[in-house]
Amino acid sequence: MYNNSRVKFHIYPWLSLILLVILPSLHYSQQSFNDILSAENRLKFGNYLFCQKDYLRAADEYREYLKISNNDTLRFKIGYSLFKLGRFHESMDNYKSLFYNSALTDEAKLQFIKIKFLLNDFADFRSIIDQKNYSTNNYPGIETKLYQLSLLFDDLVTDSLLFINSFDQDEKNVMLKFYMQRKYPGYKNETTAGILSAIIPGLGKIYADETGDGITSFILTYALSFLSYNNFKNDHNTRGWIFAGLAAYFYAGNIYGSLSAVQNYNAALNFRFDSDLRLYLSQKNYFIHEPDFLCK
Amino acid sequence: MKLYSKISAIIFSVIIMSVTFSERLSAQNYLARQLSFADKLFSEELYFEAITEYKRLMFFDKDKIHDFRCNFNIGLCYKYGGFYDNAIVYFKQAELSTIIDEDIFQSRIQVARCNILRKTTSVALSILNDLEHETRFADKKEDIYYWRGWALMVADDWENASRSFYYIDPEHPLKLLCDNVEGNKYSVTFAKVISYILPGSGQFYSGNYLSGFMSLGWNLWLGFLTVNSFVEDRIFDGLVIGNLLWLRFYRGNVQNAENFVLQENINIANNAYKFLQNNFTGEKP
Amino acid sequence: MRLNNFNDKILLNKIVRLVVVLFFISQCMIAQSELKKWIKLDATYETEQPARSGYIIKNKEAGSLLLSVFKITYNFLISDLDGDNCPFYPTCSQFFIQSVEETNLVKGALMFADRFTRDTNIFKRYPYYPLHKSGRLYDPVHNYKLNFSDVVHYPGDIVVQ
Repeated sequence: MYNNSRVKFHIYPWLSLILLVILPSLHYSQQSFNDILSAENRLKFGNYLFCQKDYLRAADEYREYLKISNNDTLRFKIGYSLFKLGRFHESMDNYKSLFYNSALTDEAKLQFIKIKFLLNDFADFRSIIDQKNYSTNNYPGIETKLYQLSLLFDDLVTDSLLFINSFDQDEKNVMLKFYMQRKYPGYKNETTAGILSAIIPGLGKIYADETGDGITSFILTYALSFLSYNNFKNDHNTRGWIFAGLAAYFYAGNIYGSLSAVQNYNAALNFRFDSDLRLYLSQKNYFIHEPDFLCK
Repeated sequence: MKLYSKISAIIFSVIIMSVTFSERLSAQNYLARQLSFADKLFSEELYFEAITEYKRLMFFDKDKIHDFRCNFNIGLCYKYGGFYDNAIVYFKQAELSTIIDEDIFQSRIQVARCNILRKTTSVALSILNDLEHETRFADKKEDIYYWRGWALMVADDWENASRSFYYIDPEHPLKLLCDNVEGNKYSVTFAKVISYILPGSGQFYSGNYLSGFMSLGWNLWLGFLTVNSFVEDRIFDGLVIGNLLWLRFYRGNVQNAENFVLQENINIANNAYKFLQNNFTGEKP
Repeated sequence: MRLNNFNDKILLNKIVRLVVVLFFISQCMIAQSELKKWIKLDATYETEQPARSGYIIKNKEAGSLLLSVFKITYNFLISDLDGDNCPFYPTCSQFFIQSVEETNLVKGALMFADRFTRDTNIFKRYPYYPLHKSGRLYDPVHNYKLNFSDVVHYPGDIVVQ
């Protein structure tokens, strides 16, 4: 017992001394950990904001971090944040900075190409793809698909086999459907509508799928013509001429309206094709598999 | 010897405890500094930046001791920036991060105030009704009546707004304002009824004399043409003029009487809103 | 047919895509996203007054002057007095004025006759036409100028700003 207490007697002061020596260094490390504006903590906070979809603040935090240390992932995420904020050109500039000497070169190029595609200037898009500077090493298939799709959007696909073969097996059927839709859109003809309306007022509008407007046109023109006829018959010549003028005016207006109805019909077809294809591409994320660090 | 051993053990324990809690104490210190930094930005009306700092504080505040305050202040920042939808989300989070009745009440009142500001006043009124029926907020009736009055004012229901302020104080300045606005407003029903009887009179009532005269003129002339056609046995003419012209201008006269009164009433209400925005010194949503 | 014109097709595609992108951006705005740094905004409780037709002549050119005089006379004597009879935006009289301004008197008159026919067809309303933010049916002039590159299809389930 005595021996044991002697041992304790010696141990406590020594342990205390040791702790007193190491405590300041421990405290120092805590201090730096708790400095919540440190680069590491900015990174953690930025990642949290990014996953919360607060892209504006996340990009700010990442920029602060990059002032101290380089990080390609963060530069990529800044580009992604800018894209999400609708700042497409800034985003592309950001991705460009990853085109050389980076592990994310291909991913950055894919994002760059995707934004270029989304900007709708397909001629410019194709010229970019043609420049080999923007080509990826590992994803040539995706570039080809988007290239062919840009041709489809502009209705410039000449080689149907090349177009279809650019896509994977499970995509071919859908793409064939879109190709056929573009090739044979089912447009109505303006001249036909005009002639039909000249023969029977309103018929051109019915041809352009505007049955209600066509019937209205017919009734209006017919009623005015009848009034004109009836007034002439009853020797009300002035009124007869007024109604005749109005009938002629609405007859001409109906022919004009048939032409514009056909144009609107065709525009609606184009719109539907465009939005269906865009919806499909958006669901497939433009064939691009995004890196896991994007908090999907 | 035994005493010396005990003293050594106590000193050792104190050091161990200080090591254990130093991390916690140090974190608290930094969080407090972060909070005061965020508060400083808030007081300087740098609301965008303040939100960032409050969010940062919440992220590093693992014990969630500042959650209510941060969420509440983020809500306020968004409110001051006009992002009322976002503000409501954070006030609701603030409500969920506290168990104190006063804090819950303030969070809900802020949600109601945001709804007043974004002019979804029916939602604000529903929130205020719910608060009124909760017994734990029985001592907050005045606040509820006050914001209900505001919601009703913004909803252009000055009569009920006046009643709500009356419950606080029969001589409440906002009650007097509501009474004044209500007294100055034109009656839409009256304008329409007199316009049905005598075309143009509704426009006279709201002070649009030229439009009133023109309406009266059109209706008298077209009415005469219609009646005259029937008298002269020109039934078709009578039907066409009566249907396509006279009725059109008669209907237009009633519509105009209503529109002019509504416009005048909007002007009267807007003058009151301008006063509330620029000159009223009491609490605003 | 105009659609066979290669350039027209490309231009049409661009316009349609622009509409889709603008619609997407407008949806982002509704969600109150913070797209850039902002500052304090003073709250307003005021109600917006509907715009009233003004009697101001802006253009002193002979043709435009004549059109402006016609427009003012029509507004003063008829349009401001005969009530709200047109369900469309722009209204029939505004449509006529805009048509003449953007094309010529003959074409504008034909466009108006066509619009009048569409107005008479009471069975074709929403959702065949999209709604304008004013609450009226959106039926813009540029879709009827017989210039296919100007035609923009608006789906019936959107509100045009």
